[in-house]
Amino acid sequence: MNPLKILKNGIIDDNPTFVQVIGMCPTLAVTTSAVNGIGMGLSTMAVLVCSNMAISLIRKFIPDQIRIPAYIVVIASFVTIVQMLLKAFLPDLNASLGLFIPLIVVNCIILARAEAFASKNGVIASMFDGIGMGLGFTVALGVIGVVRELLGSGAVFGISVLPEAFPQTIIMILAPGAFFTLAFLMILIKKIKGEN
Amino acid sequence: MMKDIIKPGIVLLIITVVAAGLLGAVNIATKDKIAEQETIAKENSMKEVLPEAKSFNNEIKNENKDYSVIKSYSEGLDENGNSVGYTFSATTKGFSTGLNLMIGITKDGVISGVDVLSHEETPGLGANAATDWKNQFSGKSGRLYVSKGDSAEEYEIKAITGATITSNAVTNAVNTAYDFYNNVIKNNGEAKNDFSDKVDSDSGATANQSESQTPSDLPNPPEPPTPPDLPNPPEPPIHHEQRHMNTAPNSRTGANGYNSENRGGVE
Repeated sequence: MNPLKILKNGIIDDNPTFVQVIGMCPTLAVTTSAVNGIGMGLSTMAVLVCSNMAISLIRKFIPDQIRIPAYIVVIASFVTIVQMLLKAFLPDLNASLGLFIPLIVVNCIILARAEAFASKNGVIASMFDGIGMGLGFTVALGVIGVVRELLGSGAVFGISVLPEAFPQTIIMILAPGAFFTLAFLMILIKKIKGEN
Repeated sequence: MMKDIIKPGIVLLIITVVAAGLLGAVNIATKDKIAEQETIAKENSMKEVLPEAKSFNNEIKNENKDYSVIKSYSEGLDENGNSVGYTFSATTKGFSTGLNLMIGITKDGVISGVDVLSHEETPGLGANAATDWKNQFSGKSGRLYVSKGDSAEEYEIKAITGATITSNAVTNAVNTAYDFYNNVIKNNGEAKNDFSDKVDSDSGATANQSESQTPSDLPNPPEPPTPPDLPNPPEPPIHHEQRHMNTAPNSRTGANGYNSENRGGVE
């Protein structure tokens, strides 16, 4: 398959958040600011690329009946190793991303891509699928984060942009705000695509 | 038939054994390095919460179950080796488990700083405890309460928006460290774990310390134990209400520090 097509598929046509609507738990939980959303998206992408490649490599050894537990073992081990390495060698990065890393294990995007793509395709194609889906997830979380941060704390990327007088809608950085933002963005995207 | 069961079983066993072996190897390779990084982080944090100290005595493990939130403490020394205060390493439970704090208290009984070593609070809400929010503890002393409004009395800590549980957890831990300092360390003269005469020495020491801004502490034994696994560390509500009747009769409604004037209504 054409790598560019795989990338475009992940970012636009089959966007994990807005089109597939998977990985909702981190989407709703961490998009309280643009930086958090993008940080979560990028860490997920790193794990997704590696787990896709690892699973694609061993896909022929894994009998069908046990593929799900096998994938979970691979993904969970991978995330744990990444976290230990970050803690040991990059403590600063760990301090800012550490919160998100355990969340990646339970992110169903990773399992979904292992099941739907990596178990059926070669290593290179799986890598591009990981990059595409990861970027799609990052963009989606970044956009939700920007909207929520702007309305909830009057700032973008931590820099205040709205005048003091503009009321800060605290509900937008609480859980309901995530649902509102996601719903409106999905409506918008469907409109643009011309669907009903 | 048997083959269909045994073969996948063996493959899964191989996968898990390989995964366990890899995890073990990485753990051995990174364990010392991680411990080293944590020690560095802890030392930096101790210097940050007690800036007057140039060096620290070895950490002493706290075995007093009445203050189980306090895991260990360390005496800070200036360049001449005189004591300037203590740092307390506390582990409590916020919205999630594992909220690790470093609290500095000078020898005059003033909170010199609070630092969040590690936490698992919600990013964007409870996680804000690790930002500038924690600086409002510096310079305060006495029992502190979480306030949800804009009022900033001397004994009040403004809650993090949308993260009252985290705010309460940190404030309770600071209060516990404060009590621990006054009731255990100061009254025993030296930092030792002998608590048999704790209540007796309590009245003696408070008489010559001018801690008059915490009258509610005097007639009562120290705060009940706050085990870290309780979802909400208990606050002494009677103290609280008494206190507000004495000092700020109009600004409060309830025992949980909720300000009726706060129109936000965010829990």
